[in-house]
Formats: sequence, C-alpha cells, structure tokens
Amino acid sequence: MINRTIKLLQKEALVSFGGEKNLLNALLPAFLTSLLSSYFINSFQIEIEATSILYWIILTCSGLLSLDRIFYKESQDNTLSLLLLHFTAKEILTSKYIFNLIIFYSIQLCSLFVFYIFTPGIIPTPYLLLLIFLSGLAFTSALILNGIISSKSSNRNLFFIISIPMILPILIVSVKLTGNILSGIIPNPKYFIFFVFYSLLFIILTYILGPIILKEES
Amino acid sequence: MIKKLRYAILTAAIAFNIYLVFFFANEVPVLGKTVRILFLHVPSAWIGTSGFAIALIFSIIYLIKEKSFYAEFARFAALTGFVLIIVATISGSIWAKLQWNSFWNWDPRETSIVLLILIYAAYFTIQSSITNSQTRNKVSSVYLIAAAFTVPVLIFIIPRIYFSLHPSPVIGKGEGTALDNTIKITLFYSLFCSSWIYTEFLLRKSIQLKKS
Repeated sequence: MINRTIKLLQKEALVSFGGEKNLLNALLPAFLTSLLSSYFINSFQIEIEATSILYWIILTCSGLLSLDRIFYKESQDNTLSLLLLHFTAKEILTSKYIFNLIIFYSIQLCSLFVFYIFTPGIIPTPYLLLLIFLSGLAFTSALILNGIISSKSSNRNLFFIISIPMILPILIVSVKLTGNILSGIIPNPKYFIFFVFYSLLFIILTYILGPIILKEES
Repeated sequence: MIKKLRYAILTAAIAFNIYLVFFFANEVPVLGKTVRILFLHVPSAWIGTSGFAIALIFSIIYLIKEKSFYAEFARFAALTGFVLIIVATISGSIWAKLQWNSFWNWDPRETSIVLLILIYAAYFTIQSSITNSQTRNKVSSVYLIAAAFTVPVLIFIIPRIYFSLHPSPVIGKGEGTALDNTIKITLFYSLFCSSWIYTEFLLRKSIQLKKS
C-alpha cells in the first residue's frame, strides 16, 4: 500500500509539475500577493486584525487556485479508468491527499515567510504554526472531495462555487484565531478541536463517498 | 373521501393556527407585536432543516439502491429546504430590522444561514452542470451527503464560537429567554401544523414521481 501510494505520488508530481505548470506557478501568486499586502500594511499602518484577514484571504485564494485541478487532468484525458485498473480508489485518494497537502503547506509557509520578513509584528509562534498545520489539514480535506465532484462536470467554475461555502467556516475561525495569536492572546483549545473535527469529518466523507464517484467513470 | 377529509382537517388546523398567532399569543414586553414573526421564522427554519435531513436520507438510499426515484425525491426535499431556509432568512432579517435596527448584523447565526444557503445553492449548480443523468444523480447525491454533514457544524458549532445577538435557548427556562406560555403553545402548534403541511407536500410529490 505505502509503495503503491509513493508511486502514485511520483506520478502526481510528474503530471502536475512536469509540464507547463510547476511548483513555482503554485507559489508565485501567494508570494506576490503577500509581498504586495506587506507593502500596504507597512505603508498605511494597518491593524493586526486586518493583517490576519489579508493573510487568510491570500491563502484561501492561492490554495483554491492551486488545488482546482485535482482529478481534472485524469478526467480530461479519461485516464482515471486506466489508473483504477492498477490502483485502488483509496490509494489514488491517499496520494492526491498527501500531494495536495504538501502543495497547500508550501503555499502557507511561503506566505508566512514573506509576511515574517516584510511585516513587523508577524512572529511565527508555536500557536501560529499549529494553526497553520491544522487549518491546512482542514482546507485540504474539504477540497479533495469537492475536487472529485467538480471533475465530473464541464463547468470549470464549479470547484470554486462548491468549495468556497465549505471552507468559509475554516476561514472564519482561522482569521479570529490568527488575530488573537498575533495580539498575544492564548487561544482557546476548542478552536483547534474544531479544525481536527472538520478535517476528520471530510476525510471520512472523502474515503466513503470519493470511490463512488471515481468508479462512476470506469 | 379519506383524502378530502384529511385536507378538510388540515385546513381547519391552519385556520386555528392563524387564530392562535393573531389572537391567542400574548405580546412580549421588549419584542411587542414583532414576536409574531417567530411563528413564521422558527417553523420555516425547522422545516427547511428537516428538508435537508430528508434529502440526506434519500441520497444515501439512492447510492445504495441506484433508483432515480430516490435522487429525484432528494432533489425535491433539498429544493423545498432551500426555499424555506430563504424564507427563514428573510423573516429573520425583517425581525432584526425591527429589533436591532438593521437588516443584517453578521451575527454568527446569520453568517451560518448564509453559508447554508450558499452550500445548497451550489447543489443546484451541480445539477445544471452535469448532463449525464446517472452521473448527475450520483455526484449530486454525494454532494448532498457532504453538505448535510456541514449543517450541524454551521448550526451548532459556529454560532457558539462567537458572541451572538440571538438568545441561546429560545425555548428554555432559567438563564435562557423564558417565553410566555401562550407563545410556547402557539409556537409548538405552528411547528406541528407546518410539519403536517410539509408531510402532505412530500406525499404528493412521491405519488407524482412514482406515476412518472
């Protein structure tokens, strides 16, 4: 199972970054928008709450842009049925999940690095890193199932239409928590439990319902 | 004959409900006459949420049995739920204007209901985006199940994370908003009547679908 998932991960990296799209393309929007935001935050003395809002909006948009092609290539090329002959649906889902988690964490860390360097007052405390870790988990978990659903449609905007309402609860809690952490307030553990709960909910739903849609094409 | 009798009893029950709302329920000191919006706001939210729960059940049954009837019925339940949640939002917004002097305050419950509307609006986008009926039924059933599991998060968790203008237990004792007995009776009767009307709607739709 592990070896087969690693093979799928390698295939994922080759398909995603071997062609016209590469990791830099995924990170560049987050890097540039974070840099621009840092400039305006410093120029106009924007408050810490507004900084946390900007940071999360950048992350959400960059994350959505980079993860919108989950299963899109397989769906376009009709290669999913071939893939399902060699791998189980759960192995495919696991590889997609790990790959997109890596992408999302890369975007988060890139954005945090730019904010840390260019914006005074943004310090990556252990609480902030824990928040980034758990929110990334929740974001990716919610987006994988939406990626599978939208891959069955010819409407390219469907991924954004179905994903935004589902990730908004994560965004709301993340903004609130980041504002608290950056202001020096110790966050209530119930917020972190919320992320774990939301992630688990979507992981379970993805592994139960995802294979039903994946096999629909084969 | 039984059907006609059932409808006659239902009509009488609705008429009695209207009487209770306008002549039996007492006015509340702070809320005044505006309390009557409660008898539309709460039942529509209740029935709307029930519609989503029915859509969840029939989506699961569809994925097990793969008969289009269940997917169609789930779609109808989701549609009615969606319309009623919009009714609850509009009535709540009018009440907010009368009580808090603003149609919208981004109260956590208001935020949650907007997210709920967006989630179910996306379901109808899925319906119109997929042409193959079998794929559409499967994908939309999966989406309805995922959407239904986010409902408890939006209704029970998000409003408890932030400060809310809404009273916590609406029908409660002690610390919550203690409601007048006439209001409690009218509210429960309104809930009963609206549930009955909704059941009739669902029965009619199921007969229609079976015939087609």
